[in-house]
Amino acid sequence: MTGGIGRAALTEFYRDHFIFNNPDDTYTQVVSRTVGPDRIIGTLCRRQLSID
Amino acid sequence: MCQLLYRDTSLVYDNDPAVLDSLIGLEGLPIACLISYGASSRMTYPKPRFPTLLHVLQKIDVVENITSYSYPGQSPHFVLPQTSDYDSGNASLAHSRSLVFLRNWLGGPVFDLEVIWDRHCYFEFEARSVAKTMATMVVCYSFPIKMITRITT
Repeated sequence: MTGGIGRAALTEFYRDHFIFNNPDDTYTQVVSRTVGPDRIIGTLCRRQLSID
Repeated sequence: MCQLLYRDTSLVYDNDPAVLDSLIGLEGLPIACLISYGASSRMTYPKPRFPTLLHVLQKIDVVENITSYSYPGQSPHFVLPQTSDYDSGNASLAHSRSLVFLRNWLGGPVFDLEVIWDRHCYFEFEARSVAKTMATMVVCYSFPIKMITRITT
């Protein structure tokens, strides 16, 4: 599993390992979503439109 | 630890379990509801004059006006992050239950979490902005900002 705890670590994770590492030609598919009173639990799948 | 909510103001915060008895019996005040964490270990409570939520360590007798949830463990301080008795899973569960209770008796507020979530995903995957993605998240003391984004095998 990857991620970060705390603002500094999470910013670093997003910047250096996640947001810019997603290929351009991807789309998000919702696998499941549970909406609670104070949280959302979601499972997303990032799919690539084309595979070389 | 008690939290007592008047209709127009919220106040009273006390960590003395004995305070609960006097609060349950209060008359003549416009109290909306009462929440108590880690109440004493007894089984029977008098009927409160207003809706009461008790987070207790063992099951208690059913009483009108009392909603109760019991949690395994020995310490009434399981919801306090600064103590060694902190139990994050059950603390989180108790927090969610308190929110539902408060919204019911105070009439809200209700937030549209899906709007925030959709905005978060947009900035993360479409706009690709670290700052704007982070701006959709908040830091709080008991639940530090945390993200597990990917499970890799």
